[in-house]
Amino acid sequence: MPVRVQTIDFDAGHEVSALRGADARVGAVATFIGTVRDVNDASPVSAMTLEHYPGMTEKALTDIVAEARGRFSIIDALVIHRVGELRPTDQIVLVAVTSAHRGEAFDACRFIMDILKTRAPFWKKEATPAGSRWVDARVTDEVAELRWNAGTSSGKPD
Amino acid sequence: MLDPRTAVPAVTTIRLVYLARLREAFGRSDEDMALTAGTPSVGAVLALLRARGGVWADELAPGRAVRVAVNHTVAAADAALRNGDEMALLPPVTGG
Repeated sequence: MPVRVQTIDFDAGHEVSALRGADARVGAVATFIGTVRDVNDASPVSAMTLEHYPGMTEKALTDIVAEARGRFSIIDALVIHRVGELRPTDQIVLVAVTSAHRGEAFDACRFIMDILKTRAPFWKKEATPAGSRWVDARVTDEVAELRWNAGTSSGKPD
Repeated sequence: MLDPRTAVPAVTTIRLVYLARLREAFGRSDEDMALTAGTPSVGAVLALLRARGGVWADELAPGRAVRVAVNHTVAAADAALRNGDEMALLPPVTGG
């Protein structure tokens, strides 16, 4: 399965080894790991709870990976996203992409993350000294997605 | 000869799902809704929910960033609803 939603942590090294397998076509592996920070919007964050919409989440992630496969010549891709309670320094998300050359792997990895941010149904609730609060969506995330849709010839953001 | 089935009003029952901030605001995670009028649409259901007033009208006011998914796919206001559909209301997503 190229997408997984889970509460348990992941080992990026193990996941990359499994993704590469014994495939000698692979000449490049790009990975992105998102982690929990201890501050957001100027407030200290002691923990966050990630919730999702089971069923739609897996479908949305699968669709995003399929779209990446259509746009870039990649060999394989993996997305793991954690849910439940997480603390600062915990890993949240892993995107790993294999391809023959680095350019497609980098681009596809960034594309998957940028689209995941605006389309995959996950929500973060932060625990701060002032109580818990739902995290607001960022305009910068919308801009990142729009740049991919703007459709330069390479499909890359500016 | 009248088909007896046409004498019964067509009822479309959908499952509504509320996520994250909306689940907390509405005090429930889901509910079933029976719709009898014409061909029900996403927009018509949103109008019915807004008509409840209070937090429903606030959270679902036009211009609020609420996305709708029908059977796990994002849907527009004019999307038609069928019996057994799951219509979810999603606040702006913040994963990653």
